[in-house]
Amino acid sequence: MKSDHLLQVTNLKITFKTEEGNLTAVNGVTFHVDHGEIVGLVGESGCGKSVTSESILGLLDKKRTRCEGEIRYKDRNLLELSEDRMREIRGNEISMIFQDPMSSLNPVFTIGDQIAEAIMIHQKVNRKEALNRAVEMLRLTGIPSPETRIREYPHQLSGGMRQRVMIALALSCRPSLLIADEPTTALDVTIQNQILELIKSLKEELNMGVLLITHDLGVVAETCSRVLVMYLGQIIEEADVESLFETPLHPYTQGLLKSVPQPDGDRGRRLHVIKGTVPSLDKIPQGCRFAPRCEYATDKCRQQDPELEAAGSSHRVRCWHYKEIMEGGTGRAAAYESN
Amino acid sequence: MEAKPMETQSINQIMKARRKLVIRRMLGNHALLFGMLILILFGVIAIFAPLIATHDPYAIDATARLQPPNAEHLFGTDKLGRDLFSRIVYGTQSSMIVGFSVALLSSFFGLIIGLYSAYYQTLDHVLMRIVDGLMAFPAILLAIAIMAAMGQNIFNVTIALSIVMTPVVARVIRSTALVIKEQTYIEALRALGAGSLRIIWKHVAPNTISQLIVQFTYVFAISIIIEASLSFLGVGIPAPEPSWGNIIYEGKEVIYQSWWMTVIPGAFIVLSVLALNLFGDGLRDLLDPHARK
Repeated sequence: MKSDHLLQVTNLKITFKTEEGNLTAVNGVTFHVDHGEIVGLVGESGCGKSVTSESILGLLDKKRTRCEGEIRYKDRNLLELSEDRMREIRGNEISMIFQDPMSSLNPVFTIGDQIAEAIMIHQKVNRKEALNRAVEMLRLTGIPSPETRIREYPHQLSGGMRQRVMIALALSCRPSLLIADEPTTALDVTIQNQILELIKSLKEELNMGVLLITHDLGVVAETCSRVLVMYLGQIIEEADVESLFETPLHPYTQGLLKSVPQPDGDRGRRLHVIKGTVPSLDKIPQGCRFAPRCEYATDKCRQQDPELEAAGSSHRVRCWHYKEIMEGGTGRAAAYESN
Repeated sequence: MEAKPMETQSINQIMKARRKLVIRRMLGNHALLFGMLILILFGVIAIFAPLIATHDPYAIDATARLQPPNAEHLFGTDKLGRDLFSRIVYGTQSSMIVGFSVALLSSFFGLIIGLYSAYYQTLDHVLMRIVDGLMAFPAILLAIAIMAAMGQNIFNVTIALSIVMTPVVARVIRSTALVIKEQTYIEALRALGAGSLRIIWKHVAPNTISQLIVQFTYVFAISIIIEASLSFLGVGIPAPEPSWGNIIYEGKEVIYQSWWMTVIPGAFIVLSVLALNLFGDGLRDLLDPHARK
């Protein structure tokens, strides 16, 4: 079955084998990413978003994790590929950038050496040529005087610079798909903005597909065209970014949006809180996983796990009662107070 | 974009400044400096032993037995009339050779064992059980057992001590490598397509070098002590080959008359081990980014 999407993940299920038994961190996740689009993957810590992205590149420990389902990248199922084939793809066709720029670079090598190495792993060029390309990549990511910078060590650069170096590393072989795992979480706000703009412009230039993983809804609003919301290993809502922010359908998404503090509003009002906490993986509730924390939960919710169903042309939601919630009284439907 | 000459100029300046900073820090660390000077002194003595020694260390002279230090025999003579100064000088050579070789061998094998144990779990279980087994024996007893099986000469002393000390180095390298392995940049390297061999040798290993160097000096020091102990017990470097340990062994019976036969080699042992420890401590301070004054 030929697929048009750059990346098509179908029914991905990731299970960890522990002493206490098997824990399913990701349960039946389906989504796709196309060329030239930035797809956001949002969720709390522990919902499975990082694990999902690591499984795309096969970075999970094969002895302790089991991945089922299908991850189709350009018509190849990545889950079936050998380690040698996967190594050809990593860094070359699919690249990943990580959260903490402080520890993402080897402290004992210059940044020029590290970028050159990334290039030489995949392309048959000599060191001189690789270093030239490294300078080009640094220039592309907006680092000034790259010719001098390549001789510097990671500890001599600021956090924002390091993240740019990380991006240069990841893009050095011109991948088609970029997975960005919380790339701006460890950076301050002004740098965050620069890095996001950089990712957007590089996406345009290289016609890449980008899977942006974050817990920050502001980042999502800034950069993504489509959003997937994850909770406890499942996608509970999927929509284009305008629809998600204007008409969030799932109570969890509504709660997330309501929880964002409004700088210009009634400062005296208490912040909205989604009651309860995310259950641990060995205590996944029966029925809808969000039911214990949901204010609209009914018996049906507590007994049957809802499927992801279409609720509009590009909007999907996993909730039994989303229609009623949407149409319900002003008290309940005012799920997102716009300013 | 052709600002090359000016920029090369500044790169060279940066690197020169960096080198000066390192040297200044080394000189500022008195322990490191003292240790290094003493070690250089011992190294010189070991290398130029034939030139420094005043007599043939094996030459027996029945007329000059058990002399105290004098003009002719700087450290006196032993009960066979052999010049102690020359014997101690050649003993320095033995101790330095044994210490250095053992440190080199155990660092080499300890590095390999430590790195691969940290990276491959099944290998780890096997190797670490063997290492634990070896480390359960007190070092001297283990060395004696190996020497008893292999025969007594300087070569076997080196091998026995290397077998004893490799597990120590392996353990330290393994724990350092385990920490490094969990760093994000190692995962980032895998995400870039790097294979295991490249990651282990090009990326994990260099980050363990600072620990390895410190272990090297530590093993060197311990080897000197163990070799001297073995020779003192009569199971190390065999007579008549001179060694600090067996000079003390021979000096045991005449300790009340010729105390210098015990004290002088003992002082050499103390001084060399002290120098190595200071040097190792100084290096650790220099290399550890957290220990900055």
